[in-house]
Amino acid sequence: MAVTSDYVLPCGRDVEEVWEAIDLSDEHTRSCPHCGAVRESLLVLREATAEMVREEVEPPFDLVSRVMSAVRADVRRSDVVPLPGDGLARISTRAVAAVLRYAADGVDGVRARGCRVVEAPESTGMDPVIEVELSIAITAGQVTHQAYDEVRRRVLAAASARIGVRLARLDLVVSDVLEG
Amino acid sequence: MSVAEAAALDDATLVARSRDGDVRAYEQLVRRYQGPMYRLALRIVGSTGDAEDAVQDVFLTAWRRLGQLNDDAAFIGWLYRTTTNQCLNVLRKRKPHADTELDEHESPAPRTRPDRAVEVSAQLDALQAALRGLTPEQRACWVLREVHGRSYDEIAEAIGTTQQSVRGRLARARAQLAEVMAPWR
Amino acid sequence: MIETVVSAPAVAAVAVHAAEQVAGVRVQPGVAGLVGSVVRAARQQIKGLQPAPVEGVRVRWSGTAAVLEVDVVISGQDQAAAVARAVQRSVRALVPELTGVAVESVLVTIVDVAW
Repeated sequence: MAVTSDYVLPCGRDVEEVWEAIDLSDEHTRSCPHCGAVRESLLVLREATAEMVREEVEPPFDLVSRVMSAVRADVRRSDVVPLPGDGLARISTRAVAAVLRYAADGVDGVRARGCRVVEAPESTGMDPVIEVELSIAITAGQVTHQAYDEVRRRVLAAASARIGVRLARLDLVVSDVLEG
Repeated sequence: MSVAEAAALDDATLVARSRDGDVRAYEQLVRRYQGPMYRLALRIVGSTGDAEDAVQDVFLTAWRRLGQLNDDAAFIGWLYRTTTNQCLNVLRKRKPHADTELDEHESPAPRTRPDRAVEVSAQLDALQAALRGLTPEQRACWVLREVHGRSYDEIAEAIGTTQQSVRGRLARARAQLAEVMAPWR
Repeated sequence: MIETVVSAPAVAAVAVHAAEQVAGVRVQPGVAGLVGSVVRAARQQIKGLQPAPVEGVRVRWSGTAAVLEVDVVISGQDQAAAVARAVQRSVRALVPELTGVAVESVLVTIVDVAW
């Protein structure tokens, strides 16, 4: 396949054709001075290339340790959630948890205890999704089932309005009951 | 997992474990591929300082992006493409008279094995000089194909173009290099 | 003002200044103990800016362009995602303007939310 016409030799062949036939012995190449010269140059190029392939230039001895320091210092993937966009903004799960706990605290008789935030399997950089397990303490007598609905609404709203991520799953766990 | 055990593990396993946050597994990956990536970078950007920066950057980015990788076996191809991309960006940003910047970035001469230190031939020197005469894309195509044996498909993806265009650039690169190497016939 | 060679601490100081232009934003190292700065706090006077300590900012180089990472704490009512974008825009604008250094990318990590 003649790939390029930029390097056509006076005899009509192009350099790439000579390259493809470099180890064959054909009539034209043996008699044509142009092809012969190009073939010689290509043989030298091939030899020099083989040298380059064998060349054992090594990276600096401390490259691995520098990379690994940065890797270890980097916040673990499980500790951050992407914020929607080009992949260059993210928020720590700890910060997300703080926001969601605060939202739940807004409901009378409810006090947020623990909040576990993980990135959902279906989460992407363009559309980040989280799953949350929120444990709450409730004050006996003060809290009806409507309160739980209210907590859900507020937590969902906070995920969207305060953070900017989608909440796919919210498990509410009543971990304590306080005297009313 | 001891270092010895980890060293025997295949790439896909190391990638999978790294994805789960296994830092020691990732270190093995870095050790395994720092050589090829550094050599690739060095041949494209031509300066040891820039090559080091590029490779460090790629390995840190790779760690962060592991979560987005669908196929563990695709990691190495991804490394090649990202390193190439990074190097092309470096070249595109270089100002025309970049000599002073190169000096500031320069590390001590690249390490080769001591017994080979004196053997770098004039021919190889000429090839390295000839490569600098190619455009960044031509150089990347040629190095990826002729030195690192990557497929046309992979090269096309790395450069962000078609296989047809890769073949064209390769042909032009080869013709130009051959012309420069001619005096060594 | 464009210097021939702009050091990492200078770029970092401007990045901090830019980030803190956004309402409610304070630059701070990550809660996981991430040490943001590549170069220790070196004081730089740039266009009359008060020098800022550079923990919380990491500067790396891609050719002549800076690759930046900024760790911030946010407060106030604004949506975290929007604040992160605002920080990126601010840094992308001010770093080249005040140092002449091009910015390749800015990774923003919100490490905490305060009230």
